[in-house]
Amino acid sequence: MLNIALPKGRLADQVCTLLERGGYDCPSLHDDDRRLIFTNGDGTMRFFLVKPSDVAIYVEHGAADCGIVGKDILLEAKADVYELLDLQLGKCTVCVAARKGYREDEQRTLRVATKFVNIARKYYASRNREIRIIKLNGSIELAPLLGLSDVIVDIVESGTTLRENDLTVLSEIVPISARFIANKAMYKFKKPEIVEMLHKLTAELEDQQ
Amino acid sequence: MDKISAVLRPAERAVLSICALYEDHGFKKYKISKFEDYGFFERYKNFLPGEHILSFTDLDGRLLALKPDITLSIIKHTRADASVSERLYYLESIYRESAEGGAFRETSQLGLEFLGPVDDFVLAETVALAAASLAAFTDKYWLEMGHMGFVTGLLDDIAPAHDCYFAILRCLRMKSLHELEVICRQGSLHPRDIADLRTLMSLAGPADEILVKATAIVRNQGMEDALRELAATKVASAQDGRHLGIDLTLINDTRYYNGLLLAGYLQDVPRQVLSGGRYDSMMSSLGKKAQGLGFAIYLDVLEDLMAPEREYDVDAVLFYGDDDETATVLEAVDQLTGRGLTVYPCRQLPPNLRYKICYRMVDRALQEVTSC
Repeated sequence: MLNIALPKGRLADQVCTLLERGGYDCPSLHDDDRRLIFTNGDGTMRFFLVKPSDVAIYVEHGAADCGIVGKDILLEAKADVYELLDLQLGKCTVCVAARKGYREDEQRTLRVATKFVNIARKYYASRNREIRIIKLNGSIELAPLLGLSDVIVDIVESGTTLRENDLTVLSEIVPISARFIANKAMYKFKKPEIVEMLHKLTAELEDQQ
Repeated sequence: MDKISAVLRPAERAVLSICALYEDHGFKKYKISKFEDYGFFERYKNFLPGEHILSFTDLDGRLLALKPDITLSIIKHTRADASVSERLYYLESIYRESAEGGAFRETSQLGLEFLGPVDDFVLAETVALAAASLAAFTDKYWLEMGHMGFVTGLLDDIAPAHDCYFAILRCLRMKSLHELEVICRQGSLHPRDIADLRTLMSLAGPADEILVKATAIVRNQGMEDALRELAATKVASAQDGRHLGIDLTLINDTRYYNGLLLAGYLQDVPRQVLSGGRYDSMMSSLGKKAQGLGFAIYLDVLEDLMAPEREYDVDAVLFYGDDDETATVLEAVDQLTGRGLTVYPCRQLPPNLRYKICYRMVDRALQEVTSC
């Protein structure tokens, strides 16, 4: 049996639709159901619905053989997993944003509010810029408005939230989308099943294009 | 199974049988102090995973480190050279930062090191011993071989920019073809280079098949030598092809390893349990003229393979009281252990102790009681 961790929330419906198009039977995921574990009709697959930020943890620790997770989570968690396919779902960008009209004072340490601590740290290290990270868990856009930070590093999808809060994108760090990942050890022992799933998902993406 | 073996967990029994196997092959147990001069590890920090070394000041003022790596110490002290070899194995604790960060961890490693002139026999023997080590834990294992020389040979010929070089290594490590395509486009690589990197990404599977496929992208002597060395290990894989394969996307630390790479997995253990390879360049960095080849088994990872949960903590509980003579109680314990039972003698039952049978002393004799 192949154990697959799927993200709850924003991505769940798109992921489920893709899996169904790829021939994977997971109808319960669409239902308003509070169960967190679903087995498909022939009992060959078991799907877990977990918090998006936990998918990589479930896969890395082998509780799930494979999973679907946003690239932002992978970059942030530095999970030691195989990243087999870009599913082109949930596309967005991790950006640096600030209040409109903001001018950076390069003479002092930059205050960066974000929940993506590792991504922000790596980005500014590559630019040799000294920063102070302010770790937040939500409503990141508030930080520059209240003077808590100079800039934010956050996911931007359409840009509406930024515009509504009088913020603007200063630079794009990395494009983000959902990825199909696998546990490295499980891949050795369940390779035929995982590779079959990889091929089906790849074929489905190619059909869509 | 004898009584002593029964006390050991399966992983512990496997470790003992592996040690016996290494001794059979002339490897001698290497016992070293837990501490080493801090300056030594600081000097070779590049070879260590993680930033921090657990250190302390000894009573005489010397700064010492708890060993973060055993191979470095073995290389430092080896007498092996270009003609004389040394065969060593160790079962030691190492002290490194935990993967989650923020704390040090003590973990156990069982390792095997060959120092000296590495020839085809040594390569094949090491692969065979790595496979046998995994087989000691379970027959559901997988050992794969890679070669740093093959990967770096191709990348040196392609000669991408420094950042692109390491980004390609990262993509190979993640088996991430889509990321590789992006990196290649960003690095403006030649279409032939991109095609060869794509082929490299697909080179994982049975040894015979991969050795043939890999020849299609050989560009230089280094890559040819790598395939020749991998072919030399076929003797070992021929003995047990179901469990051994080649994965040329296998990458390890480019500062530590320069040749054959080994990675071992056990079914039901979600992490790599064996890692190793050829480390001639590290030998040379430490001023040694010998070559080096070895592997380590991460015993902490094998906690997942421990004994199945027991139904009982002990077979029998034996109650005694103030009226029972010590000699009589001792005799009763002997009587029960003589029957092959494990016994927990006590005046009062500890909470949560699970037992099968309960005894009391009645008139200086054992009497089974239905409930404690």
